[in-house]
Amino acid sequence: MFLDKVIIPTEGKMKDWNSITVDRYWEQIKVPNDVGVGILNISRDINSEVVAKRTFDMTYFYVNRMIKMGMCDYLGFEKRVEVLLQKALDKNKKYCMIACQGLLLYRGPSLITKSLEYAKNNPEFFVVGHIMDKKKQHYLTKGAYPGLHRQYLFVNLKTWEKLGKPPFDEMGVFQDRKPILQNYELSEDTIHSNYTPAWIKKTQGESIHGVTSDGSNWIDIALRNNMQIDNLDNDMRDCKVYLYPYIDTDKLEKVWYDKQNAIVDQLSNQAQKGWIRKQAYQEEIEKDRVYAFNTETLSGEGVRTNGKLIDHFFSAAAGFKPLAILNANGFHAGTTVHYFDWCEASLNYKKNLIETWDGYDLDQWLLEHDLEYNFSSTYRGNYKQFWEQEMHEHGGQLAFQRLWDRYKKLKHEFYVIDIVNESEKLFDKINSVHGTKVLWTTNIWSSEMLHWNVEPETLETKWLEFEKQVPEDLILYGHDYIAVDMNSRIRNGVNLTHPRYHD
Amino acid sequence: MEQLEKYWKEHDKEYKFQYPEQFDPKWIVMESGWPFFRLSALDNQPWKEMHKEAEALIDKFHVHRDEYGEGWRSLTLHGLNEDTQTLNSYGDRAETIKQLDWTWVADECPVTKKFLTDVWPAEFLNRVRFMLLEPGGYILPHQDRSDEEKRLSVCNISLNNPQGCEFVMKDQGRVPFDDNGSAFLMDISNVHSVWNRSNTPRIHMIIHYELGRRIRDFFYVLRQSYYTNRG
Repeated sequence: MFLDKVIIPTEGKMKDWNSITVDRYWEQIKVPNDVGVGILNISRDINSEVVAKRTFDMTYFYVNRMIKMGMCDYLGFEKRVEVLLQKALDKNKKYCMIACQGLLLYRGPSLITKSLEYAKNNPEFFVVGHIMDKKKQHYLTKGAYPGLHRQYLFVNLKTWEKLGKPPFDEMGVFQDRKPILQNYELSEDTIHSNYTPAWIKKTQGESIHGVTSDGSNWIDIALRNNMQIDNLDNDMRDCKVYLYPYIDTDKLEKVWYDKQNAIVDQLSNQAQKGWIRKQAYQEEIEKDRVYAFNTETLSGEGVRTNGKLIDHFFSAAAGFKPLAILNANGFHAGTTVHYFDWCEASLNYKKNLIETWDGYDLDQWLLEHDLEYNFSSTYRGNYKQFWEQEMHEHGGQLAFQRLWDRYKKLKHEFYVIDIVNESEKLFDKINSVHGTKVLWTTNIWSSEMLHWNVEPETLETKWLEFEKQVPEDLILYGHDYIAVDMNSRIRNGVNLTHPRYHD
Repeated sequence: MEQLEKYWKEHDKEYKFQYPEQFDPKWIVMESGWPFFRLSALDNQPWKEMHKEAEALIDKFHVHRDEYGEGWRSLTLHGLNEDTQTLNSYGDRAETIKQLDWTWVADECPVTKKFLTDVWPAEFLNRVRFMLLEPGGYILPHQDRSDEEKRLSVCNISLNNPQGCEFVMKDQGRVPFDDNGSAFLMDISNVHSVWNRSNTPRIHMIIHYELGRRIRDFFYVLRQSYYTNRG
């Protein structure tokens, strides 16, 4: 080989949470798998089967990302918090994260990291959650004893056991059987509103309460055992968004697939409105989005051609991972690179780069072409840092430049193909050539927007159609619709599916 | 009879509901002013089997409020005993509440008991009774709660409701109980009267309850019913 196969694992700083694949950022996260994550089923409270199902799908989508990163295990979709906690105990987990249907843990890995950090500093804690003191806000819980919002709970299972495994009570109204609850003190500091105190702790005495909130009994039990409960801090809150699927449900259903609809402005809940607007914006810019750099690791999968040089490389038109795969497996002067993408702008970018760039100072080239392409905001305006990281991972500037020189002389073909909806077009191309053939599909099948727009059942069907067409001699890189490595699935029988929604 | 004839002439009409666009459980229960509300979500319950269970005990029923009723009898499934009166009549209400339990009647009526434990969306039961109105029987116009307690509260379930037997609320109209079984939340601060002008005993079940921590289950039933009723 002209060049040693040098791919250096990233110490990277990239964070692009739009993909579900093992992210370059993962390299920075090293946590033990001590957390079980369960989804709390609140379908009863959601007046739309569409919204109920899709919120479950999307909550799982983000949980799945954490699972793929090896940070947690999935516990299931249950109507009772205590059932999920018991499942976590049965799996020998130390902690349980309860994500309510509609909670989007788009920075879930960071939330797990922060929660484990909290656990380390507060080893005897019982639960971290949204402490709600809605005395004045919500008419149904007006005057209620404080509670914990069911959207998110992080529970220390050892303490839960020690307290006798109390169930997580739902809100209640009482006339003849008003509970007697421990008196409490709320912090004067609040997290973001006057109903979200930073902590709650015990004061002397008990009082009778006619209205209770979700989790009031947990607060009562904790206080009686002299435990303080802390609210999530703002960093933790920034890791997730809750869609409140039981608010404006009919409107949410209307805009789920029609994000530009003016009804979005009528959504009364700000979290809901903000998220849909973000999705609408994301969808719009993804139409001609160009990925100069990859969001996934360059070398995680290793060499797969078993010593044979690549003759034909079929690749998504994204970043420099194609070069990394070519370099890791080896290629020759007659190798053909076949780029495919549903986005024509990505293909045009690749053509332009190959024709006009000399392999030096990519940051300068990107700056000069900044207005020509819709580059991802992850690195836009910060090209130098990302380019340096890229060179580093390829073994330095010289190694990259030599690789680029060899690569740009190869024959390149470009095809506009949507591999999810017209996979046969891709396989027609693959089957029309001979030799050692490699395919890299990146995270196309497991991307956030695809999963927002298409139900996992439909995606699975489309994936299986795709999988059926994969020829035996095709070497595989990329992920299936639930972010399982394609090679593991197709060649090694890791046939996983997604959890099914049930009400 | 003349009193009933006059009352029927004045108040026996169909009640017209005006449904708001958005479902709001508190509004329905506390503010709507609706005299009754059908819990359509419970329409598929085994009312006929429950009726058979109650009918089998027909000779066990106790005369009820004969000061303003004729042929009106009751049998308690959940309470202090098989003939439990209004709970406030036993002194300290809190103590009375603690003593509430299933009676032997519930043991004889497993389908009914299962409905009350597994389906009925409230955490606690207070007094639950079968209410019998014999053929030709009647309950004169009366008011169970004061005007200040105007809201939908107790649940009245028709296990049967033969043609000719009617439940009429003053100024509001007829409650459209179904002979095949139907459950209604009732605002019993309205003056109401029942008259069974059929040849068949009418058996209803009245549930007094406390929602407790099952308020969301109750709202679910209310919401499903609301959209069904609204059409």
